[in-house]
Amino acid sequence: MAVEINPFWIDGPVPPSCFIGRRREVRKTFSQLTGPGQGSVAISGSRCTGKTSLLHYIAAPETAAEWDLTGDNALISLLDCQLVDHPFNVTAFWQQVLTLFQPHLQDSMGEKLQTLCQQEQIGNADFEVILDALHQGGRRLILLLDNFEQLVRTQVANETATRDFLSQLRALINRRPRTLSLVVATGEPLEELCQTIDFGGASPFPNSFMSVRLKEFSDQEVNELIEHTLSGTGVAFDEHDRSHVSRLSRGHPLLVQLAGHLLFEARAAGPLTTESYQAMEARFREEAKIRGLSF
Amino acid sequence: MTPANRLGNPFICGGPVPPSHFIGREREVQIVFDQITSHALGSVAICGDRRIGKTSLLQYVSHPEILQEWDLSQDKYLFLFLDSQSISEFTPSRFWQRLLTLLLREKKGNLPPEMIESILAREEIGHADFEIVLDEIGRRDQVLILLLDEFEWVIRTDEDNEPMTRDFLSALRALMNRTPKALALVIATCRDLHELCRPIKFIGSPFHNEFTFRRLRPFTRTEIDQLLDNALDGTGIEFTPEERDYICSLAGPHPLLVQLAGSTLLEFRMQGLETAPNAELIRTEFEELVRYHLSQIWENCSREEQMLLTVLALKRWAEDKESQRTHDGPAFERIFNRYERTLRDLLLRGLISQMKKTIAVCPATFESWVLREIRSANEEEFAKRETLMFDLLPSDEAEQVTAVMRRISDREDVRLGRTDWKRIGRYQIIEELSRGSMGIIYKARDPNIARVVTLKIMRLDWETRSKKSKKRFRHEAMSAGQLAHPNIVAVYDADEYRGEPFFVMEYLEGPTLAKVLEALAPLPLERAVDIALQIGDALDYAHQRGVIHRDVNPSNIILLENGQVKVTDFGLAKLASASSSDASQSGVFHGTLDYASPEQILGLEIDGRSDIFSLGVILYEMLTGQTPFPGKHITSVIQCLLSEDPLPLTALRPHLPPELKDILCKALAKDADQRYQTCAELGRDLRKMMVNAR
Repeated sequence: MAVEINPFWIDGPVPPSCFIGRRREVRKTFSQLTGPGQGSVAISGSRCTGKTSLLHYIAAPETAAEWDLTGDNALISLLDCQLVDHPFNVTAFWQQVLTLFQPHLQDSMGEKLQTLCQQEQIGNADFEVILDALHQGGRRLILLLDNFEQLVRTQVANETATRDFLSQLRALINRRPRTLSLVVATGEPLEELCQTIDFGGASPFPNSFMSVRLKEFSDQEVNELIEHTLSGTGVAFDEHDRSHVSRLSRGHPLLVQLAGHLLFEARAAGPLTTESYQAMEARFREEAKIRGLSF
Repeated sequence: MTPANRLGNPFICGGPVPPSHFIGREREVQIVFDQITSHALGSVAICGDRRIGKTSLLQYVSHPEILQEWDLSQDKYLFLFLDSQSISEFTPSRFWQRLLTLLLREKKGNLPPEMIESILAREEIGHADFEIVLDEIGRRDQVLILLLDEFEWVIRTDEDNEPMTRDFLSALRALMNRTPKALALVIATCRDLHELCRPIKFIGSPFHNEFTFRRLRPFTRTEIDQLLDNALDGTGIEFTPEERDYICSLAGPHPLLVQLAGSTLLEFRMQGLETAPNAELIRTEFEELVRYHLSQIWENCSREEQMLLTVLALKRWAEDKESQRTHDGPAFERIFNRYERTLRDLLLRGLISQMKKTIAVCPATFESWVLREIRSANEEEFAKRETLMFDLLPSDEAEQVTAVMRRISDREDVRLGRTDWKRIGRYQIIEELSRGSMGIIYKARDPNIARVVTLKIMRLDWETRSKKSKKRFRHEAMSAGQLAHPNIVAVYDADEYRGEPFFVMEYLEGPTLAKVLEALAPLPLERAVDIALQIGDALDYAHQRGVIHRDVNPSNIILLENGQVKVTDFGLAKLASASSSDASQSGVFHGTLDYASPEQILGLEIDGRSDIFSLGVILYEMLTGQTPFPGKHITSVIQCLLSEDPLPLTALRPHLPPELKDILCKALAKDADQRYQTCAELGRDLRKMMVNAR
């Protein structure tokens, strides 16, 4: 049998071209972003359930275009909050955001951004100028913030700063005309993450979001993933293989990929026996453990 | 993915509704425009629950198209929307700076930019600086309408910030009242402005005096239908009247919940799924979606409102699930009558509904949420909920309400004897040994040291759940744990499981004295005295260490095969009665009546002599086969115990040594001062009597 490249994706986020399932979550997110409210979305899900992959998928121009979000009417950018400078300060955050958008803006706007980036402090009022300018050009900003918990620091020393930052962010996304929408991804649901923050009687930050919780894949999604991944490889998983993958992974997206990966390897090596299934299962458990996933 | 031309879900599930989708609120819009166009140039304070639509209303009334519809010239009326939360680290200077920046950027009323810029160049900006701008606005016959959302953000009433807030609000008020009038405010808050400003010590007129108040109410059915029609417009999907009713039953009249229910139902419809067969699935998804929003509504309720919502939910649950408990009804009715006004407020807020004379939490999802929160509450949260009831209700009503709370949660397991626990704490349950009024006794295993133990989990009244009682439990457990005597059952551990305290004790195989008496009473003199002496030794040891048993009775005495006697359950009676004074107040007695001392029955303070009385009763019973103060009813036992002498021993068992009569007379003296003062004294007399008898 010729050596095949294993098509299952076990490290890092799945590229948009390989993204499978999550139809409802995608529709809910885009409905909220493009609907009359042009609102914001808070995606949550436990480790390796595909939050980053989903964000990449949403940010992909082809996907956005299906929802009529094109470079002409929206700037979509993804920022991994783990890359935001530490110790965190609001100005540095906005500078990083603005840097992301700079290449997509016309020259005049680009200059404005450059000046702004050099300012000692950037606050809401400054960012509003950019948003208004975008609006005048018929565009809006959709900012996807992965690992958003990095910015929600609830320790006593940071609580006030976090509260102020989130309150300002909230004010920006609720402005009319609506020119900024956020899609944030966190492990814990956003409302739980912000639970201990005292917003001084004013609206809590999570109030402005529609929440989308990523759960395990349904059997249909597992099958779809296997089907899609194997297409063109010349390898096929039979009914027994599929139920083996389902049983091992219990629908957890990364574990589905991992089980598929190991099974693909085993299949490529030759006919499968009971022993090879057992050996594969043992390896699956080891690999899952290495990735910090318990099952 | 399938090709483009996607149909999005048009319901708005977060953030304000754009003016194009704004529904209803005709009265509120009218009030805002009436006030700001009146000669007095009035200001309006809008308040309402979270997510009821305050921001949407402010953005609606300041939208250029709406102003045009109302014939309000934008050259005259300068509408400026400001979300107060956008001001970082609020100070008055930052507030004025923010306003001026907005005025400048939005070029409102063509005010001279250089004037605003020159003010903005100042390091600190005060209300006097803003007055210059207002002068200019007035001079141009214009009016500035400030729409201040999230206004609680600027009302800081803590000790450090109160003077700043007071000065700021007073200045704002003064600016509103200047002549010619050039400034009106429309502010939005979640809590009532009066209430928010209450802690502020205004020197002159309070800030809130300047406002016309309006509370945003939930939607009417017509508004809900309008909202649904508006959202579905252009989707090619329509909701049937049944589907609309279902949305109302899920969401009640709260606008955001209607949006979320509509969105959930539409999701199903978009997948080609019918509503009726999937109603339960829709409900489950909706409940998950609204959990956080319901918690927000709850947080925004006063303590009285939270109490009433809980009582209402519990009442309905009790009626639905256990119709036999109709005796709770009158207590609930009394509560509703007493809090009629609060109920009316809840009704106006759409948090309860009334059908004829039946009131219920609204929507049903909220009712389920209230019950679920009780069920899933941890001990601290549950105690908080109980405290709320006892703080606001007379104790008999609170007890009835909290009893229902316990019944719907796991905490009822012990009370109702529904226990199929495999494990309590770290202890593995082997088998249930017995159950009684105070709790259930298990044979269990401590896996840490592979030791078989006796585990006693207790049923306690509400008083014992307070912090004070938990402290007392620990104290009693600690006292009992320190008793190390051959005639006392050793206590190894004490803890709580699902809110119920439990003790872990030495496991012993042997019948209780109660069982032996049932089969063999009366006992031979030597055996009876030997048992009494061993009990006395145990009690004497405990009394010397300040521990009173309080419930010495044959069920608490274990007889081992080797003749050794073990006394168990030290201090548990005290725990069960919460405290001796509480017990007397509530008229509840937690010992075993036949063996209780007169002072215990009367609820007086007791000491070790009370245990001596109980020991006297046991000795009498061992010798005669009956208790000294028998009676068919509780009242006759109590009467006998308090006022009558026991039947003479000789009448029941003539051949007993005559000294026994005096010993028992002294042990059973009604006045504790006339009794043996220590068990050692009683033991000495018994031993002397036995020597003489031989």
